[in-house]
Amino acid sequence: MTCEQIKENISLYMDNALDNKEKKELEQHIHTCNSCKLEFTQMLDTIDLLHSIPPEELPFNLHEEIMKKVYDMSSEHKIQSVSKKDKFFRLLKPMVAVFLVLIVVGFGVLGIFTLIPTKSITEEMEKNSAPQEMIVRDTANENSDFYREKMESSTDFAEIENLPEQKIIKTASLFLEVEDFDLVYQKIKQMVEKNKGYIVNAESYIYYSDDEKKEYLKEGHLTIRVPREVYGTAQQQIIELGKLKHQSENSDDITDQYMDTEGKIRMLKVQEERLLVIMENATKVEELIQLEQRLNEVRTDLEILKGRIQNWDKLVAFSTIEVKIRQVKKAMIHAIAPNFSIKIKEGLITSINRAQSSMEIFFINIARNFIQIIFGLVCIIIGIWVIKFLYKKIKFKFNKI
Amino acid sequence: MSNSLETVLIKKAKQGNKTAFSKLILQYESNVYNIAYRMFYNEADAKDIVQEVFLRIFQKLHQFQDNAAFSTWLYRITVNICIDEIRKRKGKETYSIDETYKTEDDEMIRQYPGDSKSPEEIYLQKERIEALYKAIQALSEEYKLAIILRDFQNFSYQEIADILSCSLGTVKSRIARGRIQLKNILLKEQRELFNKTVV
Ligand SMILES: [Zn+2]
Repeated sequence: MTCEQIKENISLYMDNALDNKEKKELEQHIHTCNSCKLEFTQMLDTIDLLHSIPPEELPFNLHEEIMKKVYDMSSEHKIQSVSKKDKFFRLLKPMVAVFLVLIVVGFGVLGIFTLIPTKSITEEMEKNSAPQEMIVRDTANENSDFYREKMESSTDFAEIENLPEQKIIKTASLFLEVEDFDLVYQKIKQMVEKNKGYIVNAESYIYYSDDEKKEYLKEGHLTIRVPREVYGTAQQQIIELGKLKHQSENSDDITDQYMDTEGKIRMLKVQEERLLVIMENATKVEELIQLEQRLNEVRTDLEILKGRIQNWDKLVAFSTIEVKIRQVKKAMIHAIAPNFSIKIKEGLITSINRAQSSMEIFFINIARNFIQIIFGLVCIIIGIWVIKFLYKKIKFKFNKI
Repeated sequence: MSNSLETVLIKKAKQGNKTAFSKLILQYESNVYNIAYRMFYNEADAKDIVQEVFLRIFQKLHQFQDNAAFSTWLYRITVNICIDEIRKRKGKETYSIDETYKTEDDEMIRQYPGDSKSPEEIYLQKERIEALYKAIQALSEEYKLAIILRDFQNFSYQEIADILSCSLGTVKSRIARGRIQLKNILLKEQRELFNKTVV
């Protein structure tokens, strides 16, 4: 064996990766060859140095960062990020709506103004609100079959029926103070069962006890899902069980995302079928392997998207209500009024809308009439000034006389 | 982790169970991180590589054949991603090793403060580690990988052959030649250092 070969084998010798014959040969050679002996000691030092380096510690939170990305990639997590985006759009929508109303009403008012430029603001307001009332009266009075037929066959209605079903995820949270904790806890569970809903999570614990440990006060959290049809009544039923301390509601409209995903699923299915057809005609093994891989990818994507739709369906069909109940002694209970009562909810909203629209019209009219108002004011000031001037003149003349 | 438990976790993870996936990867993260760290000698790069590795594992898990060794498959992906990254960088710019050292300096001191060693000893060890890392960075990709897997991660020759998808003979010669090259670089540096201090 040459020195070169021996030098290469030194490394393997240290890992015990040589057979017995090679081992012996190497040991003998080193005793006789100084160059290889030096190489041997140097290699020993190098490997010692390599093994002396401690492993690096895993950076803090790296596992969590990895898992977060994994969750981001898969379906459930996407809903949350979607709803965040939705919130932004929900804020945007009313702004756009107000803007549009401003434009429409603005043009309307402008049109009226160009025709009858001398009408007062209040008269104008009456005019604007009049058509609304008229529509209401129309529907109330015209009860004839002819009218109903016309309504049903109108294009507007056909369009509404063709529109996709709104996909809205509703969530409410309630905080109640109660006297008999166990009873209320039981009653909520019964109510959920009766409404064909289910309990996602329920927990209760003692949060206070007096010094003698005779009296215990409990607190509990329930996350329940009820069919969306009973979302309002279920909330009402829970509120009636205690004193309401806090209530909030949230709804996320995911219609766009839902339709988008459905579209993608349709596309992938077409792709899947096409791939299967190509595969039937494929002859080369390489080609088949490639096609199979592609098919696998398409099917995985399909599964993920289908899972997302299923999850959405569940979230839309069942509204979530988070209930927190806290037991308090009788004297401690102070309730707030529910921020709505289910029955009067709609009435309240419409009256708020009406109030809003009349306020809007008022301000719009002020804005529209700004020039006229300024002009009027200037006229009045000039008028007063002229009258004063004339009055002084007359007075002066009288004094003179 | 027992093999049967790992098989169960893989099966569940394949079905999309993320908790199972989380448990499955936990024991491999440190090794993957260390391979990447030693390839790039830089924490930020190593973290990026680790994340990319496990995301790819998650995406491709359905392609994993149950009769193969999961660890081998995982380390093969790690090695491939490291090599891809190195090639990407080679294409874009010349990668300056010295610069990385300068920025990592402070970190190296902070990394081993717990040892009950004198300041001189800590300094010497730090110097030695730095010199070694510098020497490793100067090796060619093939040798570098072989040495990292063998001398840092303690894989057997056969395991390395499986991970790198090459023959046992190739692994043996890569490790042997890599170590010789490494030793020579270290000696040369020592000599230069010695000459400088003499002058
Ligand atoms: Zn020799």
